[in-house]
Amino acid sequence: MYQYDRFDHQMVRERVAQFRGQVARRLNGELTEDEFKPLRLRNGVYLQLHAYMLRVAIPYGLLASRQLRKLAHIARRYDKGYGHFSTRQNIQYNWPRLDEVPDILAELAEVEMHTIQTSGNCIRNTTADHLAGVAVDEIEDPRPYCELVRQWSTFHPEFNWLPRKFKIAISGGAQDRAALAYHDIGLRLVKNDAGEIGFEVMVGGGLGRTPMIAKTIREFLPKQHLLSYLEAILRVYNMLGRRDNIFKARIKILVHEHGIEKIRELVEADWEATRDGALALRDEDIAGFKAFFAPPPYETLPANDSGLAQQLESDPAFARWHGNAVIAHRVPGYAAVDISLKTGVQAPGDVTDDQMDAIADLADRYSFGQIRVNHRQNLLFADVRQSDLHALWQALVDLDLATPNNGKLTDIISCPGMDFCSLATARSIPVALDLQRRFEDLDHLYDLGDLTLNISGCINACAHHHAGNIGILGVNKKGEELYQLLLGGSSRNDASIGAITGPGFAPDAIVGAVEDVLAVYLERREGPEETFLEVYRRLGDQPFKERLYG
Amino acid sequence: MAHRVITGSLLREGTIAYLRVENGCRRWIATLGEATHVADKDAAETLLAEAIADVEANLIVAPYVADIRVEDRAVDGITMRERIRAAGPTIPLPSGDRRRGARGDEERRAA
Ligand code: SF4
Repeated sequence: MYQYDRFDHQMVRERVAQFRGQVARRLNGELTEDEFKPLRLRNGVYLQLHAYMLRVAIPYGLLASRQLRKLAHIARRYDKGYGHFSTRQNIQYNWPRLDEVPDILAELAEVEMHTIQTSGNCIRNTTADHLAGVAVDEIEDPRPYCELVRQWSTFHPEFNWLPRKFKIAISGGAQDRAALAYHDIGLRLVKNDAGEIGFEVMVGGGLGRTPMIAKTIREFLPKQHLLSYLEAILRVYNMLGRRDNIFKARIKILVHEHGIEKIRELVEADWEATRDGALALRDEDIAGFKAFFAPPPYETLPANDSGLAQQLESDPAFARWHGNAVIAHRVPGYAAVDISLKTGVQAPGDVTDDQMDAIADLADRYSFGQIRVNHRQNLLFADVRQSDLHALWQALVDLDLATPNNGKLTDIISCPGMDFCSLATARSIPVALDLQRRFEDLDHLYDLGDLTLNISGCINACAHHHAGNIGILGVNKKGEELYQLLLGGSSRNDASIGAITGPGFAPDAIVGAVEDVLAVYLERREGPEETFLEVYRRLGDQPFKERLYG
Repeated sequence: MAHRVITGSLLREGTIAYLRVENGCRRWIATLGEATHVADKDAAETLLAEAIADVEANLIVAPYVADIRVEDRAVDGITMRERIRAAGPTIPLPSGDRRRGARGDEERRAA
């Protein structure tokens, strides 16, 4: 993974010192809250419902074990003993004190971490396919390009105060696992007819109040022009983006109002003038970044481990977990492993300090000391020997982290909702926990097939509720919580925005409403292999509405 | 019966605080039940205006008037948001409510 050079170290240390001074001046009154707020947001510090919240960047979701141990230490020393992984592959602490945040930042800097680009109207932390480098369908590893984008965007003077936040995601697989269509810019590594690898560039996707699917602005961008093209898009957005209305300030509105053709014309014109300038990447530049993400020292192993076959035969619980959590790997004898943070007893994405420490130890033992965070709020070991899977599973069982629900209904994305978030209109975590309890029977869960369910506590849609096959949006109606149901969303290659079924449901009725929807699915599917989304697309929403509102 | 309290967040800690006025002295306390509550809107606005001094004294952030309900001496927020602010998250925290050392300063005496 990327290693800081002396400039990175210096930059991050200086940033910590700068924020320490800003906090001191806020506490002694030299800065008012209005003056301080944009500064704290620049450092990932929000003031939430019960306390400050600190968001720590995990660039493209990649963590070393020593970094995860540091995150555990921070949870233990400065917070309430846990952290919350978000859909942006970051981690959030819900209870830090403001006067201790500079110390936390100093501790993070020791392990090459920070909170830069986790908040504010800047280019945010770039996200990526969590299977980067190991996916069997991968065209090219996206991580070197994520790191290039990170270095280009951090403290970019021209784009430091954009009209609104700006999110970029990069995927290298044939299948989109990074929700590209819902980002301000989505970059998909593709191969052109000449066999060259470059990027399909999508722009103007987003969720929130006005969900939109990104449109392709360029079918094929040669790799050497990645940064110059991004810069052209950002420049057009920075000039034309609406600063008069926060709800219309994202690039998706610009694309919608002007049309993709017009935006393309502007971007291409800007790019033509700058493409061969200082940002043009040379092959050796790209090679230098690729070197940081060279494959770990894999052993030469048989494609199928014979011991594993026996363990699968003799241990049904292991076999069940294996069938769900273990993901095919491009290197013979290895596998990737999903570590579910959807245990049904703690909020989706939550993990305790002790669990973090234990996961770090397991990563050292079984996965070259690295951990990934995916955008569905789970963790992943990317490089596990097949012969180690049984031992790893046993260790995860002991940690309550072996729930085999990867990609199933209870693998719920949930935002913090009104239990923590000051913008929330309703709670989301209790609904997630109720649903997980209701569907804890694994036979029933597996019978429902692959299914995504996402719950947001307000229209800001941090949990991507429009992109879930089933989405739930908590709203406030006359002071009471009400839950709208959306059906038909997807964040994959076939991205689609879920449609609201009709009037919302009371907190004690929303789980029943989901059950009704699933009953229609089970009755109307043509076979167990037809997924919920396929049935919904085949039948439309009418049968579901009839059952819900009959 | 509808009443009103003044509430905000402690600047240093970020935790929720309610205004209690005792013998003309302002304190910011952690529990809604012990906050000073007033029935009419004007009295609440007067209290809020006084609380601004504690913003300037760097004790409190973003104080506002919150509506509460008082029934049989039990006090609670009217909106779900205020009820959660008063009672804490409605879900158990993964590590219980464990926190290192003294969290300190739940009460701060105003100057
Ligand atoms: S969706 Fe709304 S409630 Fe949920 S975390 Fe985002 S802003 Fe908060």
